[in-house]
Amino acid sequence: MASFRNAAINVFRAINTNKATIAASTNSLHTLRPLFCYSRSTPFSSHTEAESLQIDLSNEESKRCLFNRLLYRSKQRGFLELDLVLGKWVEENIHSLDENRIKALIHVLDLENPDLWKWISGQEQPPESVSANLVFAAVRERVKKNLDIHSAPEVRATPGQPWVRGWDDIKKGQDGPVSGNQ
Amino acid sequence: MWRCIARGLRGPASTRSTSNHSLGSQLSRFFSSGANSSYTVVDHTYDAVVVGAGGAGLRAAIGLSEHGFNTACITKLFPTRSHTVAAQGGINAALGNMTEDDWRWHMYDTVKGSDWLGDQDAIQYMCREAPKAVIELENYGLPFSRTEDGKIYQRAFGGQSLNYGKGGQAYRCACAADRTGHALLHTLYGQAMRHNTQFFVEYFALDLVMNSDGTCQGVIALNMEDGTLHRFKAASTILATGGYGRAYFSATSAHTCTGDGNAMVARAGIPLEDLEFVQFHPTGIYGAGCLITEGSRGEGGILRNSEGERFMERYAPTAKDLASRDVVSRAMTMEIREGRGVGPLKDHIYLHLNHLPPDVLKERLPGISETAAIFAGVDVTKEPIPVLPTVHYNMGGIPTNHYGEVVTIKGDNPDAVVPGLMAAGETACASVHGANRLGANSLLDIVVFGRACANRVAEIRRPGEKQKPLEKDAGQRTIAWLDKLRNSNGSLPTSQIRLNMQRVMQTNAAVFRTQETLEEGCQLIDKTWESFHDVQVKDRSLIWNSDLIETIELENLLINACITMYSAEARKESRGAHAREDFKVRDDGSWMKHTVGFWENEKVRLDYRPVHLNVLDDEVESFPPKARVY
Repeated sequence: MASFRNAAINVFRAINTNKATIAASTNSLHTLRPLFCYSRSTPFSSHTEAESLQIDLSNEESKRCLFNRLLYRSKQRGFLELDLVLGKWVEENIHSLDENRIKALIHVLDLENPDLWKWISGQEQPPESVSANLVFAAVRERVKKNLDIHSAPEVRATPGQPWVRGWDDIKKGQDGPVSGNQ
Repeated sequence: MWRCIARGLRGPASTRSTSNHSLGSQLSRFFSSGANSSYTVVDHTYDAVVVGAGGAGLRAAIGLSEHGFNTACITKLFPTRSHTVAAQGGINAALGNMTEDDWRWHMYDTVKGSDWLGDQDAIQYMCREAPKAVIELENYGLPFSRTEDGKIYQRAFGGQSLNYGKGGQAYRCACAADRTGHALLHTLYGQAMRHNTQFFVEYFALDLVMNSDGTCQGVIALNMEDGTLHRFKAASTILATGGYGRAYFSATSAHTCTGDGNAMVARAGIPLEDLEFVQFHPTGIYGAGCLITEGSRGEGGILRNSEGERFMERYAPTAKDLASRDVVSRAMTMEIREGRGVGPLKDHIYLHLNHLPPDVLKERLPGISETAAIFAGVDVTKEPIPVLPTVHYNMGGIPTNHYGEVVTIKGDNPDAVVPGLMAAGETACASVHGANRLGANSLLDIVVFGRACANRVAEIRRPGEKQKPLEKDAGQRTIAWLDKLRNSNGSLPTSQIRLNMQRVMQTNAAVFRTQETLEEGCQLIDKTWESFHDVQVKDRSLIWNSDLIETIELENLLINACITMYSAEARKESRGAHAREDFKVRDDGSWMKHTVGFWENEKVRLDYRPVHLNVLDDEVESFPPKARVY
C-alpha cells in the first residue's frame, strides 16, 4: 500500500511536471535598441505548480509547511536582488497574510525573475494583472517608499532606461581592468 | 566527535531496488540512531542522474536524453530559479560575426587570463567547441540578439583579443539582450521537458553513494516536501550545483550558492581543486552584495576611509580611484584591516558620489541612485554608499578532465578517473579558468561541459545497461549523519555560525593575503568548524524544515571555506585572483600546479597535481608560460 502511494506520488509529480509549458507573456513597454532586434516580448514563462499547491490553513502543521515552503521559494530566487527584496518582505509579512494574499503571493512567485525585478524596482511598467496583485503592490510600495525617501527625483533613471550593472564594466586604456570583465 | 560516532553507526538495511523503471520506486525502511526514529527510503534506478538544474545541469540532462539515457535531474530549486538566471554578460564564442575571429585566439586569451594555471587541453576543448555549442543553443531556440543582417550579434568584453593579443579588441560575446542567463535557462528547460527528463524538484541532494571500490553509484537526497529519503542509483552521476559564493560575507551569488556538490565530493574522499582562486569585484553594497559599477568611479566617484581620506591616492598615485580592479580591492581591504574602515565594525569603505552633478547620476549612471536607495538605504546626493570587495566567481571546484569526468590523485596517477562521477559548470574545475576567469567564459563553460558530460556518457555507457546492486549499507552513514544533525541540541544557531564563517573568510581570505592573515584565517576557520559541533537545530520535522536545510548548507559551506583558506595559505606566490602581498611574483618553478584539498577526519590535507600544458592534437600549439601583462 505504501509502495503504491509513493508510486502514485511519482506519477502525480510526473503529470504536474509535464504541466510546465512554454507560454507567451507580453510586456507592453517597448524599448528600441540599436543593432539588434531582440523583442521585448518575453517568449518564456514557467508554471511552477501554483495551481496544484494546496492552501490548508486549518492546522498548525499544514500552515507551518506552507509558510516554510513559500518562504523558501521567496528567499531562493536565484537572483540576488529578489532574494533580498522579496525574501525580506515575505519573511516579515507571511504570518499576517490571509488566504487571498497567500494566493496572490503564489502568483508573484510564479513570475519571471528579470521581469519581476524590473517591475518591482520601477524600471518598467508591469502589466495590469500584476499591478492589481495585492502582494506585488505591497512589495512595490515598500520599494517605492524607500526610493522616495532615499533617492532624489533628479538623479533617478528615466523609466525604461536600462540600469547599469557591475558586470558591464568595460574601460579602455592603461587603467582598464587588468583582465577585463571578471 | 559526533561525526566519528555517526560513522560507526550501523542498523538493519534493506537492499531491495528496482532497475530501469523510471516511475518505479521501492519503499524500504531504515532504522537509525535509536529505536524510536525511522526514515522512509525510496529507491530509484536511472541510467544517469544529474544534480542541479541550472545551465550546466540542464544541458547535461538534454544531451543524456538525446542519447537515449533514462535521466533523472535532482534540484533543490525549480530549474528556472537557478542562479544561472542572473548571468547577464553573454557567452563567448569565436563565431567571427563582427570581425574575423578564430577559436585559437580565444584559447590564447583564456590561457593568458588564467595566468597559465588553466589546463590547456581543456581550454582548447572549450574554445574549439564554443561555436558548435552556441549554434546548438540557437537551434534550440535561444533568442540571441541579432545584427542587421541577421547574424548573432556579438559584443566586446575585456580580456578578449584578436591574433594572440596583437590584433586589437575581439567581439566575441553572444548575448540575449540583458538576460542571457534567463533565456538560456528557459531554452534548456523547455528542451529538457521535450526530452522527458524526469525532474525531482525541491529535493535536496545530501551525499554521493560510493561503493567500496571507489565507484560512484548515485546520490541520496531528501524530498523537502514530504521528508522521505531517496536513493538514486545510476551508472553516471553528474554534479552541476554551482559555486560557493555564500561562504563569504559579501557575494553577488544568490543565497542558493552553498557549494553543495563540492561538499558531497569532499565528504566522499575526493579532493577539491584550486579553491584559493576566488574572484572579487571591488564595490559591492555592504550587507547586500549587489554591485555598484566601476563606471561610478570612472565618472568621478571617490573612495574614502573613516578619516575621510581619499586613500587611493596613496596606493595608485596616478590612476587613483581608477586603478585596476585588483589594486582597488586590495587597497580597500588594507584600509579595513588597518582599522580605517567605516561603520560600527569598521569593516567597509565609503564610495562618495554626492559631489557628482545630478545629470551625471541620472544619465551616465542610471539606476545607481535607486540601487543605493533600495539596498543600502542611502541617498547618494547626501551620503556615501557603503561598499566592500564582493565575491562573484569561484574558479576552483571539483577537479575534472576535459570530458567532465571527476579525477583524483591515486598513487602515481594525478588524473585517475573516479568511475561513475562527473561535474560541470561553476562547481567543476576543468580547469579552464585557472587562476582567473575571463568574463563571459562562465556561461560558455556551463554549456560546453554540460554537453561534454553527456557526450562522454554516450561514449562509455549504453542506455539500459545493467548496474551493479548497491551495497547493503549504501546511504546509511548519510542517514545517521542527517539524523544527528536534525537532533542537534547545541547552543549556537545556524545563522550565528554562518555569519562568523563569512566574516572570517571576508577578513582573512578575500583580496588581501599575507602569511599573517592566512595563518590567522586557518586558526579562525578551524575554530568556526569546531563551533559547528555546538549547532542548534530547533525544528525536528523532516517536512519543509528550513532550519535543517540551512544547517546542512552551512556544513557544506564550511567544508568549502576550510579548504579555501588552507589552499590560499599554502600557495606562496601571486597568481591571477590569488594575490599575496608577501610573495608578489608568480613562481612557475615551484607553483605551476593545481592545489587539491582533501577533507579527511574534519581536517584539510593538501596535495598537488600538474597543470596540463599539453594540447589535445596538432590543431593548435601549446602556449608557453609568460608574464601576464595587458
